[in-house]
Amino acid sequence: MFDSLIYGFSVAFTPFNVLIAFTGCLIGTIIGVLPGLGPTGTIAILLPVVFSLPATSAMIMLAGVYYGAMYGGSTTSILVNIPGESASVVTTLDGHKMALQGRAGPALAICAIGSFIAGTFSVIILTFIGEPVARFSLRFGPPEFFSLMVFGLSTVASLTGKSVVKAIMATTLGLMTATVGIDLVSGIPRYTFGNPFLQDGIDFIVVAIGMFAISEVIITAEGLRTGERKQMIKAKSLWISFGEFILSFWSILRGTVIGFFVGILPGAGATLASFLSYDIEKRIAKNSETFGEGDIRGVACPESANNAAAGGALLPLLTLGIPGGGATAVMLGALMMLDITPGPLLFQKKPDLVWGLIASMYLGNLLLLVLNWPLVNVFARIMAVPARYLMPIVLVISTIGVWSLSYSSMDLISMGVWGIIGYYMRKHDYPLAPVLLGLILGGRMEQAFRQSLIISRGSTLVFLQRPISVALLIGAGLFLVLPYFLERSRQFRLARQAAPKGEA
Amino acid sequence: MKNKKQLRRTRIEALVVLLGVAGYIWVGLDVPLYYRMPGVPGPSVFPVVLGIIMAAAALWLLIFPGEEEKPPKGAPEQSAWRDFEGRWQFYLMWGLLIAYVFLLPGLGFVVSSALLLIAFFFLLGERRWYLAIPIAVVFTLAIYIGFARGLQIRLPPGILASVLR
Repeated sequence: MFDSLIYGFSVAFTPFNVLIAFTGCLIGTIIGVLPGLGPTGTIAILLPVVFSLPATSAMIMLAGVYYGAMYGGSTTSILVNIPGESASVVTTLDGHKMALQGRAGPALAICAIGSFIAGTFSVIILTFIGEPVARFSLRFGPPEFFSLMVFGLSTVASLTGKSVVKAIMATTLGLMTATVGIDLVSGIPRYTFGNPFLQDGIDFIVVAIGMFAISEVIITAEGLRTGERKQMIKAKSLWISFGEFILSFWSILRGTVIGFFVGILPGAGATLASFLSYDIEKRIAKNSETFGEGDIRGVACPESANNAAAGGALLPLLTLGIPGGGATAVMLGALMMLDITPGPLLFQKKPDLVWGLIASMYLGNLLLLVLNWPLVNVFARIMAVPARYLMPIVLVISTIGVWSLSYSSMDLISMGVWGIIGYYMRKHDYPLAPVLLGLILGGRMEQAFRQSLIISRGSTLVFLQRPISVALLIGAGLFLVLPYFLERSRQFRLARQAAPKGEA
Repeated sequence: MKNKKQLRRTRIEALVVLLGVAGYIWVGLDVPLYYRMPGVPGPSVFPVVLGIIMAAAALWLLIFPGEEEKPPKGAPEQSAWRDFEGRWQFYLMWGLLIAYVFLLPGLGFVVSSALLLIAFFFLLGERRWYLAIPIAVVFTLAIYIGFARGLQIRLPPGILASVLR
């Protein structure tokens, strides 16, 4: 197996392929940094160029573009509080706060470093324990998936915002939005009200740009009025300090492990991995009360997780032909270009290709770090552009992202409506991130739910009869309820400690 | 901790959500079912489950909107837009945003975006028109050329169709 990996690296690391990967990373980063244009859009724009290349180089370029665009998406999350793609939604929680504190440089740097470390570790894990883990992941049927998504959503509901009830409502709003469009099981349109534009459902970009970009402009205007937000934010540091790196190191490792194992589950994807890892990190890290206030670990952990998940998702792709998310869907396309059908025997039949693919993803990670070493300085300085210019220009560019989805005024109007909803929610302590996660997972969650009921002939007991499913559901319940009891017990303990002092 | 006004608003939010959920469930139950196999859940099942969860959460907010807090006497109301000028600016910004999304396809990207940028530059504190107008026009044109020519994204040319072609 190790020899195969070495062979894969020898294929990927030729001067031409390194140049191709570098070009892919650069283009991906530059386009991905435009709000509203995520990895999928970037790849769609570049497909004509990619298809003119030899197959292996095309695959390497796609990996480069994907990683570049992912990094670009995180950059917009950090600098202007607009997630460029779904896996970087959670990065807005701490990343943007860091940018407002003049620490955009360290936040961007830890994204690149964390991604590189996660990429390296996921290749190592993939090489040595990939196959047995992939076999275990086959035990995940629809009931387990449904329970995994309930688990993911419940952790999110309990981690963001001040009120768990409001977070649950935000999550449910996202799930309800995902029910708009053609029902994937029966093919019947739901909540479309006869409008053909709604049949494809509501796109993540429309909701993300509406809720984050539009509300951000108004909130920035408020901040400028009250003096909470400065026109220009001077960078305190342009690169990460050694102390910040050490502080983030364990978060990166934990994010990598969580991300890899979530990514390995077919269909789970990088988004769920990033949310789960953030939540778990917040619970187990020391001094976790700074999470959500600009803690570098809150950037390091999810960014590592979404990168490791992209590596882990290769396993279900190669062994089962199921893409776990955006990256692997692109890789599936590349494999089909090479006239190769993924399946359980692919590791034995075409080891050179499989390991070439893994090596090309690693190359993408490596080049991203090399490329972003100088680019961090450039991006971090964007915060020095006066907010009165920066925010309206970002809004206009974001609108192009929405318009380019289907060139329809319906998307623009929908964006405006989500902008109003997003502003109201932000002003009244309803967290926005769960809405997006609910929207992303909603379709897959409903499919898993209905497939489970089809398997069990309508009995909901199916979720309680399988050990993995029941464990995940119990975990979900505990994640929702535990914070409440822990808080109560903390208050009780503090009250007991205070009591003797009061009596004395 | 919330004051009386916030508690009342939270309750109103909960009521609005409950009404919305009722509509959502009603429309969900009205989805036509072309075929039905025994034991196979139809397209209404998941929306109804979601509706029930949302309704339960909204009911919770209605009954337990939070703990009441007495604001200290003489404490100013926390709002960035409480004065007349501020309120005027707030509504104007929203009005401009809504007008932008409606007018963009017809008026064209360059004209509508340049106008939006100029208006927002002023509303966000720029008073030097000789800077704001050129920056807005140059940026809009640069964005248009970059996206339409560089990335082949079809941006609406609108009233400048003959010039931009």
